[in-house]
Amino acid sequence: MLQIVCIKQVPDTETRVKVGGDGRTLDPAGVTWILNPYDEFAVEGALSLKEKLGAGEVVVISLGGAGVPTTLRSALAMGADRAIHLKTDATAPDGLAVARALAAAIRPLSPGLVWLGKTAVDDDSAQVGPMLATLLGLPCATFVSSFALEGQTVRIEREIEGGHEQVELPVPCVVTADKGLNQPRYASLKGIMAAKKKPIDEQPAELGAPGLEPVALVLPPPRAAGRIVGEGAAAVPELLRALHDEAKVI
Amino acid sequence: MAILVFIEQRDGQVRSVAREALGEAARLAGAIGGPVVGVCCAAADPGLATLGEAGADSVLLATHEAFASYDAAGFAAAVAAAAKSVSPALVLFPATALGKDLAPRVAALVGAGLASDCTALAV
Repeated sequence: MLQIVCIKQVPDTETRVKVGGDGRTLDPAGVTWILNPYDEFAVEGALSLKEKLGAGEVVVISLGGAGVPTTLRSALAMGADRAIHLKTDATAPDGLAVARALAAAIRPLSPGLVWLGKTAVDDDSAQVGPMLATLLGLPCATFVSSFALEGQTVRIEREIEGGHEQVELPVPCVVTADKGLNQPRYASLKGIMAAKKKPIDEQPAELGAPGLEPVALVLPPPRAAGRIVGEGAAAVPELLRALHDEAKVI
Repeated sequence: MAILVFIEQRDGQVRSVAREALGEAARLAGAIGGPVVGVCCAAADPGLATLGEAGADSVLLATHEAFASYDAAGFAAAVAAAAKSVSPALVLFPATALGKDLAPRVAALVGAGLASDCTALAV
């Protein structure tokens, strides 16, 4: 079975984010790029299923600029067989545009399973998975924390408010991976060496018209300075009054 | 133009987030100058008549026995059909687990951009 994993390059979660000169996108200077952590669960899900089945191919696909092959290589080092780079210079294309480009590239491959992370930790919009499934006309389970394939049926558990939902889907289908699905493997030295020789197929991304235009990107306001209301037990009444009347937290 | 609001129900009860979304829609409708139309997917009417006071001018109800629980493809098809018939300026979903699963599917079906986790809206 052919499995496709859609991955995204995102800024390292330790990055101190800065707004770019255009005031609408991230300043890429000084940013360390990593594989989106939720996508690691997706890559692991595909690799462990391939091992269990003892056959098949895992293809990773990512959309973006010149930096993307580095992230594709890290998924290849984990064990994916080959990669597709959908090239574009567009900065921060919206979810629908990305889903359209992915759908155009994936449709002719007729995969059995398409994996994504449940969300990317940069824009945190969680759109592309269900959009892609809809465009491909495939059933889709999002926020998946448990996965098993039995015959041609995928049995999953997904996170919902206040509990888990158990769902069955027929293959082919789309799954978005949540934390708890598995423990992503580290790339071995052998895997890293092997990844250098694995093919990355470059294709132009068919983004189409954007569904959303970023107007401004704004950092949260800096935190105001704290205030010392007094010292020792004498400060308690004033502290209580401030917490109750000003902060309104008690 | 109308504003379409997805009315989330669980176990046959309208969730309070639906009323919050209707309130915001009613506020925006003042600027747009159109009606607020709700769309609900359920096995049976979850008491939609009470939503008038929350800001709805009308509510469309799609019923199917499969809608007793969340049927992603069915809900998406029903809401997209409502969007095509109402031709709204805007469709509002609650940013709940269900809303975040459903909204991208509807956006893909109607070919519209989607802004997730909105904290302020202006027209």
